Amino acid sequence: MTARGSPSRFLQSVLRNGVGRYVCQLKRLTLTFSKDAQPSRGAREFIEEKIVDFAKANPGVVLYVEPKPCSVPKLVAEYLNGTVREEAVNRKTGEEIAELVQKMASQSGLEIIRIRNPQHTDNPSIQGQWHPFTNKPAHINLQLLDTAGQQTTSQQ
Amino acid sequence: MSSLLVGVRCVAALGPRYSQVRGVKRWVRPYLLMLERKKRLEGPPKPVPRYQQPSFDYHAEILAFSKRLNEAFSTELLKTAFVNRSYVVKEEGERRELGMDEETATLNLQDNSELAQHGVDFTVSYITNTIQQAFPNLPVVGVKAVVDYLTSQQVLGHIAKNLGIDDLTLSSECPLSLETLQRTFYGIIGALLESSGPDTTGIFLQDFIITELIGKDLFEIWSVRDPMSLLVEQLSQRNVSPPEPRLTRESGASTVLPVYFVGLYCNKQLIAEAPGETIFAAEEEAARVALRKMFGFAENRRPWDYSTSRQGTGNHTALNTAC
Amino acid sequence: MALAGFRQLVRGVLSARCIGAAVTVLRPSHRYLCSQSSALHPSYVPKTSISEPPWPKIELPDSIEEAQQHKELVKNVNNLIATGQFGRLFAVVHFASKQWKVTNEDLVLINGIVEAQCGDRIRLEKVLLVGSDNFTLVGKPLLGKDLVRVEATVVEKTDSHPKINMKFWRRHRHQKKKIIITPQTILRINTIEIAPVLS
Repeated sequence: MTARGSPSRFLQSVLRNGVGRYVCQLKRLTLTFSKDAQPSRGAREFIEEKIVDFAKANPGVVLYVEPKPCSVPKLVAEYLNGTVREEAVNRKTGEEIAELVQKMASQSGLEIIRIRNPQHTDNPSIQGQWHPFTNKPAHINLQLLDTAGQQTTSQQ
Repeated sequence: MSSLLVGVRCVAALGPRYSQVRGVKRWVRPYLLMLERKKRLEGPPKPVPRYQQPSFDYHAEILAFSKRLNEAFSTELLKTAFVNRSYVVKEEGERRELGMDEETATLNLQDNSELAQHGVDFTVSYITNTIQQAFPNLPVVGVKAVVDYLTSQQVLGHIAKNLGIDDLTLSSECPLSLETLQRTFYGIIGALLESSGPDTTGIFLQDFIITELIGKDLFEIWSVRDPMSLLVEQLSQRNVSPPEPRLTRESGASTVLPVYFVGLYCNKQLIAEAPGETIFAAEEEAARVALRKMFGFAENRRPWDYSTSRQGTGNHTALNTAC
Repeated sequence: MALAGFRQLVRGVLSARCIGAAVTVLRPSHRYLCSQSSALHPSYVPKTSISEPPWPKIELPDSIEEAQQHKELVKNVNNLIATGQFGRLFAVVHFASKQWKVTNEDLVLINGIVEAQCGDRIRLEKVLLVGSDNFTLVGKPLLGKDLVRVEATVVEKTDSHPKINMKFWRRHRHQKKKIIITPQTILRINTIEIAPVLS
């Protein structure tokens, strides 16, 4: 939809991530798949080949694997700020699921909606914000004082 | 549910149906309405803590917690840090209700009150020291106000929720109150203190608690009723004459939104200038600006040093010269 | 009188087209015919509202003085940087074909992929300008790598929100819809450091 019709937010991060130390925002990943059904074939490939490498590379993420009869294998990601994101991984190959999992691990749980400004600063002005009196000579007010006595009808 | 189904008539099946009959059946709408009514009567479902929901392995989560924060926690201390007194009381009560005798009912769990106490003491003292060293001109009242804000339930609760502490906390209340979150956070600080030592814990506090000061103004945290009297006091302590306010700029005095710029002069030198809607408001704002400059809390001060080569505790010589 | 008037008209027309040459050619005869010949300096122009531009006239210093002033200024700024008498620094950095005004602890969203993993520290090399409260260093066009160091951390690598590219032509049964999702990277600027190596 349009910018006005769809929700938007400003660029943020969770708990000033990156300033002090970087904390991986993904805390839990649950993969539900079926042992026998065809749509879970990619999920099964991913579990056989790729999941251990991913787990070793991201020790801060807990991986849960749930084999149960289901028609649509799902990947549920839980983030530190409480967001839960579900993705259906049926008809995806093992590599695609691996890429998706990598992408989820590098995301933070903030909503994927329009970001209003590509920058965010807490200190926008260092040399002092401009106002109409900056760089104006200080004697403009003194002139008014001088001529105030001469003016008979003052607007003030 | 049977009382809710009163409006739905059960039509007797006229023999077995071997083929499907298309169309939306008459019983579907009343059934759906009945479900809605049931939902409205019962209200929203009670919140359940995450460790009682499916796919949760406590031990694995604890290990991942310490890895995620890049800290080496000792697992037993960390597990103790998450156990709250209310949880132990509730569990023992439940065991007694189930009919177990006193010996088997008592849980062998230690709660986090001791660790939380260590955590509180260390946190308050460490943050007070760091703020005093970073802003040496800030008076004791100001330091206390800043430390109180940083260790308040709101701020620590916010940090705890965004670090995933609320999933691992064992407590009788659900959802967790800010007080429980604060206590658990202090317990974790205590556990980290005992596992890794004061330096590492100091760096941890800098990374998570002092970052909450970013973008905050001093007088948002520390509410000062009369900045002018405080300014006069501070200046007299430094043996400087009291400030003289002078109107430097003005515009639109007879309009709805006038603006007056008032400058404060000490010994004919300008110390601060600030705008305001009325002259009194401008003077107060100028006093606040002067105080911020004096305490070293101006917006364009040297930013806090979060580099990896900084020290956890001890002398912050770099910060002294910077701020 | 008519002749003088005609000369003035010709002069006016000629000066409208090519100013300098026409005036000097006609000048001697004009002065000869003019009743009032000024005995003042030949290039004297009386003060009117259009004799001078409305902005104040700037006297540029001569090159030796300018070199001296520059040397003093450079020494002063070097001293300020060496003794650490500056507060927060800001920099204008060129990255991903855009320029960003950046300071410590702020976030930048890049529409594209940055070849670094989450949590890696990056150095942004193309710095055009660095400033603090009292001084600014402007590069021509870039500042030296030994002068400024801007470091950032990759915080997040996500996808953008789904942008809809749709064409609809009414009454022609023609419409196309495409959903575009581009990768994005979020950087957190950690530090801006300067060294006193101005010359």
